[in-house]
Amino acid sequence: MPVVAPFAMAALLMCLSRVLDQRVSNALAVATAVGVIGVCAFLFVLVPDQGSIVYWFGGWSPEIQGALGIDFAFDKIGAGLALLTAVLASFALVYGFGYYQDAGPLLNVLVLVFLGGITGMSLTGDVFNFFDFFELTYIAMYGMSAYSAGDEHALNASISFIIVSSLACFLFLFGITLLEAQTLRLNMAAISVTLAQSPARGLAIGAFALMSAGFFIRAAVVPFHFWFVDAEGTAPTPLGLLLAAVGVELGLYAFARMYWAIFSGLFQHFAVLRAGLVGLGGISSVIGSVMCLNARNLKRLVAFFTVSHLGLFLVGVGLLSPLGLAGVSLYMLTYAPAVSSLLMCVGILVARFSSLSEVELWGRGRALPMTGAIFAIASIASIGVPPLGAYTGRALLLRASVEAGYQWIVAVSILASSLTGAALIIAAGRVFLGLGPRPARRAGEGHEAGRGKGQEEPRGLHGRRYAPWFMLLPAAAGAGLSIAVSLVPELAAKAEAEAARFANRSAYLANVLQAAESVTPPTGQEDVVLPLGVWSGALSTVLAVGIALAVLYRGHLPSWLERNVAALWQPPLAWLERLHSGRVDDYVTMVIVGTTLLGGMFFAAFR
Amino acid sequence: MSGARLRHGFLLAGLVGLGLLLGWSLLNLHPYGEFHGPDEIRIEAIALHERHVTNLDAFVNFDLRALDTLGEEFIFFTAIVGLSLVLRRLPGEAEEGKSLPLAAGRSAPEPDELTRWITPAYVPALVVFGLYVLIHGHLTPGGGFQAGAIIGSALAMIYVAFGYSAFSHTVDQERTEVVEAAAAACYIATGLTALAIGASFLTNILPVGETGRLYSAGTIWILNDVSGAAVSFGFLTMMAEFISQTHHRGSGAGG
Amino acid sequence: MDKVPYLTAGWVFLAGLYGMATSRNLVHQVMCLSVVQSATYVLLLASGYREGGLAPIMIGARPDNATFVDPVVQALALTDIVVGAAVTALLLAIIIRVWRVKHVLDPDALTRDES
Repeated sequence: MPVVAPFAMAALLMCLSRVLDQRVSNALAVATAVGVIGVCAFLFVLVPDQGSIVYWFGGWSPEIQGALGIDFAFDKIGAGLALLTAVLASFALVYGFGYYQDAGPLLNVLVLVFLGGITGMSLTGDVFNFFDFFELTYIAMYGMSAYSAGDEHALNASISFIIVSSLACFLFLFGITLLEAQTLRLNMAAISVTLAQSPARGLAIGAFALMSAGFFIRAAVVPFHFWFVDAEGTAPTPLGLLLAAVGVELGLYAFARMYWAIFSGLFQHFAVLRAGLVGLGGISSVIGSVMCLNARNLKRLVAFFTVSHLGLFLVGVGLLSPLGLAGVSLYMLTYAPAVSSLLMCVGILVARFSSLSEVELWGRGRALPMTGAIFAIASIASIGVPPLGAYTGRALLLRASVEAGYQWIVAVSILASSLTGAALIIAAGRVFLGLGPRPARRAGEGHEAGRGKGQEEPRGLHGRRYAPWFMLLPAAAGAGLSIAVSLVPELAAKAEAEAARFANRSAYLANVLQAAESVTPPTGQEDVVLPLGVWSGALSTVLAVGIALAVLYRGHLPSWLERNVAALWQPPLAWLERLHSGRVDDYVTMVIVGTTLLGGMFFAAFR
Repeated sequence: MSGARLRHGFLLAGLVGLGLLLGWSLLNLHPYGEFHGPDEIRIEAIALHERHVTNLDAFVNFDLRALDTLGEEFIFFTAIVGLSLVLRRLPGEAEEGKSLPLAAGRSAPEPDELTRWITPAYVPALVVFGLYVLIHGHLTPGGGFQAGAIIGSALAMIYVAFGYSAFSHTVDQERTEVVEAAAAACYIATGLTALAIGASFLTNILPVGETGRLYSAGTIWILNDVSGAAVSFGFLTMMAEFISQTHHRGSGAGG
Repeated sequence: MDKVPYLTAGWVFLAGLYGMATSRNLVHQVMCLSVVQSATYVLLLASGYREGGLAPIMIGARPDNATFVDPVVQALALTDIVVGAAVTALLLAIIIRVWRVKHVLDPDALTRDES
C-alpha cells in the first residue's frame, strides 16, 4: 500500500532518530520513496485502460450496508498523480541530504508524510478521507515552511501560508459538512447519487462554492495566490519544489475530482460556469506573468511563473471538457519536473552565494556551469519550445479552447509564455552569463536585498567549485524527465481517453457502488501535432527572446520607445506590487471577497 | 488614511457577501433535530452485533473509518514534528540561551502555595482517570484522543506548580518523541496484520468478545489504545518543547 | 427558528474571519483562526442532532430501539479538534520565533521579502 509505507517509514525514522546514522536515515527515506514509485507504477499499470480500481477498507464493502466505509477509487489520472509525486518526493529527499546537519531526520520525515498524504488523496473515493489526506499533506508543508526559523521574512511567509491555507481547510470542511448533512454520506459516489435526488440544490451550490474557494486558495489562483508567492520565496528548496510542482496542482485536482464526481450533474448553465472559470484562469495567468517578469528575487520569479501556468491549467479544467482536462494532465506532467528542476538550480545558487536576487547574483553564476546548463534545459522545457517539454500539453489545451469557442485563450497563452519565458531568459542570462549591463537597484531596494538569504539552504557550500552531487542530480533528473515525457509518442491520445474516463460520472458511480467494472468506449485517437500548437509555441519563444533582449540591453533602445513602454508598464505594476503587501490581514480579506465572488458565479450558473 | 478605510470597507463588503452565501446554504439544511438517518439505525445494529462495541464514536473512528483516523493521527504527529523543527536549536544559538526574552516590564509569574499543595495529589489522580478513559474507550465515552489530552494536561500541571526543572525531570523529551512515533507505527502495523491474512487493510480481525466487558470489540480496542499513547506522548513532546523555551538561564529551582 | 444552530455556526465563522483580518496581535490572529475552526465543529455537531436522540453510547439501561444522534459527525469532530490543537501549537511556535527576532507581535511589523 503506497499510502502506508511512507507513513510507516516516517514514524520509524522518528523513533530511531537518535540512534541512526545520518547516511542510513537518508538512505532509508530515499529507498521508501523509490519503493513508492515502484508501487505507484505498478498500480498505474494495473488500472485497466479507461477503467478504474476500487478498493474498500476494513472490509466494509457496499454489499454489507451500503457505502458506509472508506474506499479508494482511482483511475489512471489519479494513479498518475501519485506516481508523479513519488518521483518528485525522491528528488526532494535526495536534494535534502544537505539539510541533515541542521535539522536531523525531521525534513525527511515531513517529506515522507507529504508523499503518503498525496498518494492517499489521489487514490481515495471518499470525500472526508480526501480532506484528511489533503490536510495532512499541507501540514507537512507547514512544518517545512518554518525551517528558516531565524529569518523574519520566512516566518512571516510561513504564518501567511499557514493561516490562509488553514482557511482553505475550513472552507473545505464547511462545504463537506453541508454535503454530509444533506446526504448523510461521505463517499463521493454516494453523495453524488443522493444529491441528484435531493431538492435542496441551493445548499449544494453553496457547498461547492466554499469548497472551490478552498481549492483555489491552495491552487494559488488569483486572488488567492498571495501566500504562495511569499512562501515560495522563502521556503527551503525541498518544500519549494514540492509545493510548486505538485502542491498547487493538488488544488486543481481536487476541484476537478469534486466537480466531475459529485457536482457535474447539478449545474444547468454550463456556459456561465465555463466562462467564469476560464476568465479566472486567464486573469490569473496574465497577472502571474506580469509579476514574473517584474520579479528580481529568483524564487519569487519561479513562484509567479507557477501562478501564471496554473492560470492556464485552470483554463484547461474550466473548459469542463475531457479534451481540456487531457491537456492539463499532459501539461502538468511535463511542467512539474521542469519547475522542480528550476527551483533546485536556484537553491544551489542560494546555497553557494547566499543571495536570491538577480541584482546580487549578476554574473556570479559563471562559476557554476553545470547548474547553468541544467537551468537552461529546464527553462526550455517549461517554456515549451516546440516540440519539447510543456509544448505537448499546451497544444492540446489550446485545441480544446478553440473547440470550445475561446480563441482568445490562445492570445493569453502566448502572452503568458512570452512574458514568463522572457523572465527566465533574463534571469539565466544575467546570472549565468553576465549579460547586459549591471542592473541598477530599484528605488526602495535596500542593502538587505540578498543579504542573509542563505538561511533556507544548507550551509557549507561556499567556496566549493561545483555544486554537490546530491543537488545537481535531482535537478538534472527533473529537467531530463520533463523533456523525456514530452517525447513519448501518442501520449496525447491516451491522455484524452483517460480524461474522458475521469469526467464520466456515471461510470464512476457504477464502479464504486456496484463494484462492477465498466469500460468507456475509447474516444477518437487523433494526431495532436497541430499547426496552432506549433506556431503559437514558436511565436511565444521568439517573443520571449525578444522581450528578454529588450530588457537586458535597455540602454541600447531608442529612448522614445523606452519612455513610452515605461509609462504604460509602471503604474499598473506599482499597484500590483502594493497589493502583494505581505500582510496576513490583507490576504484574508482577499480570500473573503474571492469566496463571495465565486459563490456569485456559481449561483449565476445554477439558476 | 484612506488606504486603511478602503481596506476595511472592502473587508466588510466581502464579509456581507460571504455571510449571504453561507446563510443561504445553511437555511437550506434540514431542520435542526430532524436528522433523517437510515444510517444510524444500521450503525447501531452493526456496532453492537458484529463488533460488540458500545461506544459508537469509537466504532466509527477505529473501525468504520479507521483509515481516516490513521490520517488524523499522522496529522497530529506531523504537526509535532514541524513544531520540533521550528523550535530546534539554530546554529549560532547556545543551549542555555534558549530562554525567551520577556516583554519590557513583565516577569514570569511565581506559582503560589495552593497550587503546590494540590498538584501532587491531583496529578496522579488525573493520570489514572486519563488511563481509565483510554482503556474503556470502546465502552464508555472517551477514547484515545480524549485520553491523550487529559494525560498531557495532567503532566503540564507539574510545570505550572513546580517550574521547569521539575517538569523536565518528569518528562524526557527525547523519549516521548520516540514513544509517540512508535505508537503511530503500531497503528499501521495493526492494520497491516489484516492484510497479512488476506482481508483489506484495517479490517477488524480479532475475536470480538462479550459486549460490555473490557476485552471486546477486537482491533478497535488496540487501535484506540495505540492512538491514545501516540496522542498523549505527542502532547507531552509539544509541551516539553514549549516549556523549554521558558527556561531562564541560571535560575536554580526553575520557573 | 429551527435553523438557529446552523446560523450560529455561520456567524461564528464570519466573526473569526473579521477578527483575523483586522487583528493587531499575532497571537490574537491565531486565536481567531481557532474560532473559525470552532464554527466548523458547531456545524458538524449540529447537523447530526436528532430530536430526542441519546448520546451514542449503548452501555447502561437503554431500550433496545432507542434512537441516537449521529455518531459519524461526532467522530469526525473529535479527531479534528485534536488536529486543530496541533496546528495551533505549530503556529504559536512560529510566533515564538517571531518574538525572538522582532520583539513585537504586531502583524504589521512583519514585512515580506522584496520582489
